[in-house]
Amino acid sequence: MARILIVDDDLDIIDSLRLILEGNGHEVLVKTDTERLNDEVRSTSPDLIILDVMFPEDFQAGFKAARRLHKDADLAHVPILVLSAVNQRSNLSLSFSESDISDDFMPVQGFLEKPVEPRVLLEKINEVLRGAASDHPA
Amino acid sequence: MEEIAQSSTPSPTQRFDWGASAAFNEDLREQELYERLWWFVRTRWVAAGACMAAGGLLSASSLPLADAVPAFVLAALLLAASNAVYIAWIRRSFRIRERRLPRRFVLTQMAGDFLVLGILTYAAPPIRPALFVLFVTHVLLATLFFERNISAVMTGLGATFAAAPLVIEHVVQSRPPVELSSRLVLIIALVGSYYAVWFLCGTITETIKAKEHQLEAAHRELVRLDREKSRGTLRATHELKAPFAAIKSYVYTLRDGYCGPLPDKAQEVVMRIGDRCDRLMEKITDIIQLSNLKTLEAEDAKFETMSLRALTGDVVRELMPEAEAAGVLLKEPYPVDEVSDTHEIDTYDADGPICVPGPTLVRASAENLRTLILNLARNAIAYSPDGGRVDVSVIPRERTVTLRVRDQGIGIAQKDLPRIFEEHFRSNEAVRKDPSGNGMGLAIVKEVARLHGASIEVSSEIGRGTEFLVHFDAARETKGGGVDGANTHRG
Repeated sequence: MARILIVDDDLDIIDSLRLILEGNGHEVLVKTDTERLNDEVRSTSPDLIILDVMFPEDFQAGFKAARRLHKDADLAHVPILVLSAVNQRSNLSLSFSESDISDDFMPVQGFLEKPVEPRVLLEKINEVLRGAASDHPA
Repeated sequence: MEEIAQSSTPSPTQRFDWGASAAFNEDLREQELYERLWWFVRTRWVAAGACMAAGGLLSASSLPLADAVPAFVLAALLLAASNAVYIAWIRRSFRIRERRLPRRFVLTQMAGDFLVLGILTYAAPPIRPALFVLFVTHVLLATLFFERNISAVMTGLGATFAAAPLVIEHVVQSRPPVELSSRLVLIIALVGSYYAVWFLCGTITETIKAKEHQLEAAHRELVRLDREKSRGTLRATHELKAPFAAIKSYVYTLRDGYCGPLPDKAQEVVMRIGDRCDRLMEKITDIIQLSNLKTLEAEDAKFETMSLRALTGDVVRELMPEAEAAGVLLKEPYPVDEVSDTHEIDTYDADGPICVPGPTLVRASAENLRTLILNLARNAIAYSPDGGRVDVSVIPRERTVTLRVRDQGIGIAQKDLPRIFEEHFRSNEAVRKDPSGNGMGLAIVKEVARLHGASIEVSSEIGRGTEFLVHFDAARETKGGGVDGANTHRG
């Protein structure tokens, strides 16, 4: 079972995710902003980060945090799953989808839309963790 | 620069300062200068040729201008030699990209031209009126391209080269003093008229420059506002959707037993909460989407060339479970060939499937076009009776590609047809058949069609069904393997 860090400012989303993840035997860590996220990841060594995009301080804070993590050689291997309420169907040039994932623009391993079906979330987590394990064998 | 600031007040009714700087718009002028460089050079070759031809003609004729032959030849040689230097200069300047070069370069050319014109003015008195006009053309160019102080200097230089031959001629040929006064009058008239041209043209140029600055500032402001609007909409969307996402997440945890087992009745209530939550969220998404689409122009949307058939196939497959749940027969209308877009497709007429070969490429904004197909197909399913059939097909023609969505549903009354694309409009039949609809689907379809320059035809009969035809301009494949759209100006 994995140690998963949830980075989200919405406490209800955190609680519901915690119910699902802990219910499936995962360990859940929580951070409600993206400040000093690199330090937090360094000290807690999560297997996976579930990351929101829009935070009150900056509507792209999640992206920026993902890029900061990606630039840090010690942390770049930690897989990131973006979980956001704004999806590509909202018709905005600032929106994003799986096709936008790239090392430069969005260095993450997956993209999910809130609210996410527990089954879909768990499948995606397993997929990303399997990918991370094969990329970085312990 | 002070003069520019004064003349930049466009009209008394202008109430807003758009934050434009009154500074001379050097970049725009320099760009224009770059584009004109070869034009100047080419014109000078013609002038050199004309001088040489004139010299040749004069030497072969018995006209009294035969004395001017050496001057014409000299002018032709000077023009040709200076032009050769200019060409070398242009090649070098483009190679090294020295930003200041074109301005100095053009000023040098003008001075050179003034010298040649001065020589001809001295040598060929009969064509002086024409030469004086040629001086004016250079004054005009200087005033158009340069700041007022520089163009004033160039005007003075032109006037000097125009007047000098008259003075030199007077001195060299020892003309009687009585002629001097008439020469002075001519010189004063020349200088006066050149500066009058400089003043008038300069004033007009300054006004145009001021307008240019206003336009630039207005454009920058529009770009900024547009960006603000996008951010605002994104925030609003997020703020509206986030609470529903949280509620729905809790619904999922309850439904899936993460909070312990629920009694059957509670399970059912939870599902209903989830359903209502979905509907409200859809409604909010529709409203936001429609508001975005209304302000979206073709130039701002990301247009690409795509197969309407392939996209329609994707949407239809996505809707299969929905159609099945509603008891509606929605068939994948044709096999989609991933490699070639010219695969034969099935459409349906009264006798069943027919084949229509041909490409179905269109220039479109994928996400918006997808929404259009989805909304039309979803409507067709929603208003179809149990066991009804919905046909979605794509029909290529020479200049257009048509999306056809046909159902055997409740139909639309003739009196309601003109209103179906209005926001929130729902016919009585529609409300009876599907009370939960929000009347936004077709308004969104209309906006997407507008964005794509597509036209829509609707035919319907109460109780028999409805047919929507959306006609798009066809995009064509070019020889190079790229694509060329009839509407390539978009996107």
